[in-house]
Amino acid sequence: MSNELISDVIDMLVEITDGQRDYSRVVLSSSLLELGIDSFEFVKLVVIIEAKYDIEFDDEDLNFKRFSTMHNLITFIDEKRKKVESDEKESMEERV
Amino acid sequence: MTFEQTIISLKDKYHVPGVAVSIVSRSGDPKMYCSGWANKKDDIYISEKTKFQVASVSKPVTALGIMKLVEQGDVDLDKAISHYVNRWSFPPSPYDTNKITIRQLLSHTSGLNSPLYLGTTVQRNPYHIEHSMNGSMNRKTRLKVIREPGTVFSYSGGGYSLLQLLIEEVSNMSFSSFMEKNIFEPLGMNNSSFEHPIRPMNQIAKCYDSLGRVLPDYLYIEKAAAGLYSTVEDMSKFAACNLRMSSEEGSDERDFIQSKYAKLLYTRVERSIPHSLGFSMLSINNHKVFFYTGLNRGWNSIIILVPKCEEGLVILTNSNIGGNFIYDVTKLWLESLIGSVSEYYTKRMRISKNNRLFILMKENWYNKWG
Repeated sequence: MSNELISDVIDMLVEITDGQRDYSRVVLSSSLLELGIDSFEFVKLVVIIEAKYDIEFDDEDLNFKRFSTMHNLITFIDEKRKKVESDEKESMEERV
Repeated sequence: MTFEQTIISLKDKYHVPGVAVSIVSRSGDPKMYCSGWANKKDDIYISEKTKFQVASVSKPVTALGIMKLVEQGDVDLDKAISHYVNRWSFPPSPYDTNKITIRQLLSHTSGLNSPLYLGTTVQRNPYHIEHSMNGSMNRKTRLKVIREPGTVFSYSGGGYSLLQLLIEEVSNMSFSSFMEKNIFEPLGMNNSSFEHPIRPMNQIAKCYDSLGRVLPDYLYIEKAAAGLYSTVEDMSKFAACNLRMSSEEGSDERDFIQSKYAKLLYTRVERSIPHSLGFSMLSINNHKVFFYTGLNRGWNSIIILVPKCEEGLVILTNSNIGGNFIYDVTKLWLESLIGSVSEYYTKRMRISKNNRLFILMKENWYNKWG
């Protein structure tokens, strides 16, 4: 889990809430609920995450209650990115 | 056990009279498996050319017709339906019906209720689509707005009845003729029609209840929503066309709709809504899965596409009990492509297993309404 990813997600939280909330003291154990994120804002966050990292949340994962903490969310993104990278590598190897 | 043996075994297990299954690929020939009776009494078997009612699998076909009108510049997706349709108007409601757009109707986000379509046994069918929308049939349920348009996803076949009127009023053709000319002919779907087929009789399947008794051929005047008659061969052509159009590279000159319009058929209208302008859709195990399930009295069907794997599945059955067969075959096929598929997804795909007693009770309930 890179610090860059953590920092990126915090920037996204600021973006979806139009800078209205202070996220300077977010820690990995903070829950999305504690951060004031509701289901509507969560979907906005998902759209930005998907566009930035070229990943796709499964429908089952569109429920923000599945991500009890920032740590869960960031680990999820990290794993999705790795999966996409390995799928791409596999597909390249198949073509070669 | 081969796939074909599995199909026969599941058909027998669930007592489905007849099934037609096709595994479709983007470019190659479909692999079609037909088994069982099209007509028990006359000893006719299901073939690739047997005609079935495909029920709600009619909807993605209608959506392609609408997109054709959009491409031609005859319809604007974001204009109100009331701008185009004069033959019918909404009953009074607290909501602004002028806000209901074509985009919302296609994606089930218009806020309309969902009258249950039961079909009619009247042979010289006196009904028009307006009768259905006005509540003169189908348990007298009138089509009306029950939610603020554009706010939530709520499946409504009634929305597609409005789209049927839209096609007729904009094209100045009957719905069936428009679809014939603009969809079936270009795609080579020579055995498909929104008109009830009269002949050849040996190519039209009979349909059966959960105890295997023949049912009347219920007619659905809600053609755009539920009235398509087609074959597994033709639906395979439709599925293959959609696989090509939904591919990463987009459609090309071989297809009959420009890629910028085709793309709308495979893109969610909003991230949280499980529907595009053409299909229901879900993201499962990093794959986009497009589908429609069909359920008319006596008929169960499904079309399902996984563009990333370049494969699709079509299943047509002529029985009220076909849903159990569809559940097992779909799950088997889908899991072989994308891995484990949980109940969370099968429920959202509206496929489920039901025991015969439950289906029998449902049949009795339907029979009360004609």
